[in-house]
Parts: sequence; structure tokens; C-alpha cells
Amino acid sequence: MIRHLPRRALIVALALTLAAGLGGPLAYAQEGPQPRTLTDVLDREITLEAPPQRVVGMSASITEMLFAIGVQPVGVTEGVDYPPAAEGLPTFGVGYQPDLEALAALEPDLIVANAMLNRGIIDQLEAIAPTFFVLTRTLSDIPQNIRLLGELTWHDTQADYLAMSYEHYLDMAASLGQSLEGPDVLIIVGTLKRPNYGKSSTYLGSMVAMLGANNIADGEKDAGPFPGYAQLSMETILDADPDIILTVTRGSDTPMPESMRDDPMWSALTAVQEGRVYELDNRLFVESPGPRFVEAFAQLYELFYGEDTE
Amino acid sequence: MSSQTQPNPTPLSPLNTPSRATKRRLARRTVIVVLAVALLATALVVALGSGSQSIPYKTVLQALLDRESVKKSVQIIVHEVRLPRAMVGALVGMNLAISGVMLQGVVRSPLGDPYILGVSAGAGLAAAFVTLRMPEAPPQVAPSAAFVGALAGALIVYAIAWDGSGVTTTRLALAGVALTTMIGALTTTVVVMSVQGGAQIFFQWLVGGLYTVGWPEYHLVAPYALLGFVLAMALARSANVLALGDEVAQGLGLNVERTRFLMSAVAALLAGSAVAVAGLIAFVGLLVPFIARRLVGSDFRILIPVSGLLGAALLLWADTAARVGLPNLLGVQSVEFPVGILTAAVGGPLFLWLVRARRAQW
Repeated sequence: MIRHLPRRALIVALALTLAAGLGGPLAYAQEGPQPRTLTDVLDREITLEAPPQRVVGMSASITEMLFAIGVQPVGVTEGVDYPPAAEGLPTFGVGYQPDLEALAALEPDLIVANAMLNRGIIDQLEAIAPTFFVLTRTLSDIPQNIRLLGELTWHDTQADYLAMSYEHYLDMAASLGQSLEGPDVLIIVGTLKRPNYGKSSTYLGSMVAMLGANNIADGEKDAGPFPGYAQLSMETILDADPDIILTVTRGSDTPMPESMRDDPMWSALTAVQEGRVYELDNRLFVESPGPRFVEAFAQLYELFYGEDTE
Repeated sequence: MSSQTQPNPTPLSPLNTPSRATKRRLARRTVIVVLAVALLATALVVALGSGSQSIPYKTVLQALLDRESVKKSVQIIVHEVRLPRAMVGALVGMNLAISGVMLQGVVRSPLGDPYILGVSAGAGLAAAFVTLRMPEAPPQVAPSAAFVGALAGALIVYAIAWDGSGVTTTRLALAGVALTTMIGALTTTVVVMSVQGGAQIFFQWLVGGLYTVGWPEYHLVAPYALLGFVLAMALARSANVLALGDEVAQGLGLNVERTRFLMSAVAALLAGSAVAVAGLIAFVGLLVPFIARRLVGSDFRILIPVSGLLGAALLLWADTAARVGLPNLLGVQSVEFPVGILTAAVGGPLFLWLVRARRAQW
């Protein structure tokens, strides 16, 4: 009896390992590559006959998600440097104005495009390869789009697993946030002269809110060129006197925390005087919602509740 | 500058036997038409042969003759990227140039350009509204709406600049600038209201360019180009008579107001469809007829086709420069420039000079 147990355990373990390791491929072999039809965020249907072999993503966010589910794209938009494996890849222009010739030269068989930036060139992209549009705006879009990309590339298993763990993580973060008494926070994207105040409906704002912080822009209406952002008067800001200011400087060489110190009005704020103004990475916190939200969360948590925030 | 301007040529000439001068003029015109065709042909060749990916001319030709004979990426670059863009560019240039010719006939001033007269602005507002605020509308609606907007723009400016007996260049320019600015503000409002953070679309509506065009845009603009050209040619005789002045024209039995309206409508048709696919491209309608008049004189029957050819060639050359030449020159290969900035850079000084010249040659 006693001698049998380890052996049986061993067999069970081996079977489990095999099932886990070969489950995907085995199921695949049984089904064969069935054509798949998916509907994208613009309500367009695309059909793929077989798993795509040459995939490109039209933004840093999409590229990071592709890598996360184990798809290696054949090219990236300019400036994409994460994950490190993306760095050496051929580029095809910038996200809002891709170089169509360079894109065609890569001979992709699937284009994953950004529904906000690329919808003006649907026909040109479709002429190059089947094009699927996604839009990742908030935290909950991430697991959802990961799943879609998984289905689209026949990487369902990895994508499902990843999406599930992200959802689990987000659930935990949400309940953690509810139990915390967070700081009053102001989010500024842009420059001090042309600020956009992020509300909880932006990507960064949704993380800040989930961590239990109070966003002083939330009562305001959307204004300015970007959705989810408001325009606040200096009076409102002075009145609210936030505990923490998070800045993402775009369009200037001088980061906002620096310009604030030299500005008579801004330097009157407690957060500025106490050095609680933090410049955040544009890619990580604004431009590229994706798998690295876990890292972004950790940084924010540290800023809000860390022992030595200095 | 005035050396080549000729007194009213053929249409009213009572002589049926061609004089030596007429023959010489005919030979000259033939040469110019041939040169214009050659200019357009080379523009087309260069446009198809250049881009961010260098493909030898031989391969491009091979791709054009037998699509399947080249690899897939070359097929797509030639047939789906370069060719539709070149075709749309040529048609847009032709439309704007002929629109300029017609408007100049209407206002009897070299400032008759759809961009200056608020025609393009009116078309732009209408097209932006339909495209951005009525996303369910089929794409064919945009050029029709643009036509209506263009015609409204033309009529408003014309009404403002009209002083009872005619329009002066200055009034025309001022009315056009004022209306263009006002309508431009409205267009920007529509764009800002509709486009959430889409920098590309924003750009596309404010400076004209061909980055976003493909075969669908070609099919959208081509019928208008053909129809506009045919109608313009049909009006050429009346336009020649109108050029003699209202009184003379009336004396010769021309319905002056009706002719003006029809010419404006054709100009709006041409400019409207161009704006609907390529946005606001400045000064092509100013520059091209200005040159064409100096080459072939003021007979609309030859002025219209020559302007059309030259307009197509000019826009193609300018677009290739904006797409490939300028980025290389400035060392910013990853983006391309909208062709509108180039035509504005060339046409702007001419516009200023024409406004300054008290009695601009027409």
C-alpha cells in the first residue's frame, strides 16, 4: 500500500503535466485550424482562415499585449521599446500616421489597429491585411482585449490564463482600495501652460481611484481635446489643495514638478511645498495601457502609502 | 508678363479661314498641350516610383503590367498605396485648377480660387459635418454635401463682394478671407466636438492632404471630376462671352446671371468633391490658371483642359515632394507632410502679389 502511493502520485503528476503542456496543441490537432470570425470594437467582422503568422500592432499598448500572450510581432511603431524583444524589430512610422509602404513591406497577415488613431485609414490597412481594431482605455479593457487578441491569434490558453489572473488582481486591488483612506490627488497630463486634468475615467485615473485615492477633478465635466480629462481653474485647485500631484509632462522639456516650484501660484500648494509632486512615465501611465499596469499599480501604491515616499 | 496675353481670341472671330497668326497660335497650343501631358505623365511615373520603400522602376512597371508577377508586398505598395493616391491626387489637382478657372471667369479677377473665395471652406464644413457627425451616412453623401457647402460659400462671398456693377479684387479677397476664417472656426468646432484625441483626423481636416486616400476615395471623386470637366467645357463658350463684360455679353444675347450661376455651380461641384476626399488644399486654383493663361491665353475652350492637365501635374509633383522629398530633406523620415503646406508655400506669395498689384492682369 505504502509503496504504491508515490508511484500513483507520480503517474497522476505526470498525466497532469502532460495535459497542461500538451493540452493546447492536442486540442488544436483534433480540431484543426478552424476559421475564426471575430467582431472588433468598431463592430467590424473579420474572418481568419488559419492562425496568423505575421502580426503587427499599431501602438505600444497593443504590442505589449501581443508579447504578453506569446505572440511575437514582425514590426512595431516607432519608439516602442518594451518589452526588450521589441527593440530590434523593424518599424513602420508613428502610431497616428503609420508608413503604409513600410507596413506593407512587412507582409503582415494580421493588423491590430488602434480604434482612436487609425480609423481614418481602415481601407488602406484592409488592403494590406485583415485589420482588427481595439481600444484600451480603462483597466477593465485590458483583460478583455487580451482575450480578444488571444482568440485572434489562436493563443487562447495563454490569453485566458493571463486575463484571468489580471481580473483576479484587479478584484483584489479594488477591495484593498476600498479599505484604504487614500490621499486627495490631482492628475495633470500635458504642460503647466496647457494642462489636462485626468479624471477617474482615464487609465491613470482609474488606477488612482482603485487605490482608494480621491480625485479632485472628478466633479468636473470633460473638457479639452481628450476624453476623460477636465479643465480646472487655478482657484479650484488652490481651494482643494491636493495631498499629492501626479504629472505626466508631454510637449515640454521641463517636467512639471520643476516648473511648479518656480511658479508663484503652484508653489503655494501644500503638495508642491512638501515635495509630493511626482512626474510619472508617459508610456507606463498614460499612453500604453496594457500588461504593465501591475507595475504602474505598484508604483502608485508606493507613492500613496509607502513608508519612505521621499 | 503681359507679352503673351492676347486680345480676345477665336470664339468671336468672324473669319473662317485660318490666318497665319491663327495657325501659329494653334501650333503653340498644340506644343503646350503636349508639354502639359508630358509633365503629367512624368509626375505620374515619379509618384509611382517613389516612396518610403525603394522599389526599382522596372519592378513598379512589372507590378503595373502583371500584378501577380511581383511579390505580395510590392503588389500592395504599388496597387493599393501608390496608384490610388496618385490617381486621386491628379483628379483633385485637376478639379481645383478647373474650379479656379471657372471662378475667375465668374468674378473676372485672378483671385477666383476656391480656397480664397470660401468655396473650399464651405465644402470643408459640410464634408466634416457629414463625415464626423453623421457616421451612419454612406460615404457618397460627403461629396454631395460638400458641393452644397461649396456653392453656398461661393454665393455668400460673391454677394458680399458685389458692389452693384462688379466685384473688385480687394473686396473679393477680404470677403473670402473673412468667410474662410468664420467657416474655418465652425469646422474646427465640429472636428473638436467629434474627434476625441484623434490627432490624425484633426490634422487631416485642417491642412489638406492625401495620406488617407485609397481606391474608395478615387471612386468617390472620379464621377464628379468627369461630370465637372464636361460641364465646364460645355460652358466654355458662354464663359468666353461673359469675359467681354456684362453689357457686351448681354448685347450678344447671353443670360449673364444664369451663366454666372452655372459656372459657380460647376466650380463648386469640382472643388467640393476635391475637398471631400483631400481636405482644404490651398491655392492650386490660383496658381494653375495664372500660369495657364500666360501659356495659352484666355480662351476657356483651351484654358480649361490645359489648366486641368497642369493642375493634376502640379498636385502630383507637390504630393510626391511632401510625401518623400520634404521628409528626407528635413531628416524626419518617419512622417510625411500634407501636400497642402507645399501648395500654400508656393501659392501664398503669388496671392500676396496679386492682391498688391492694383490692376492685376487677367
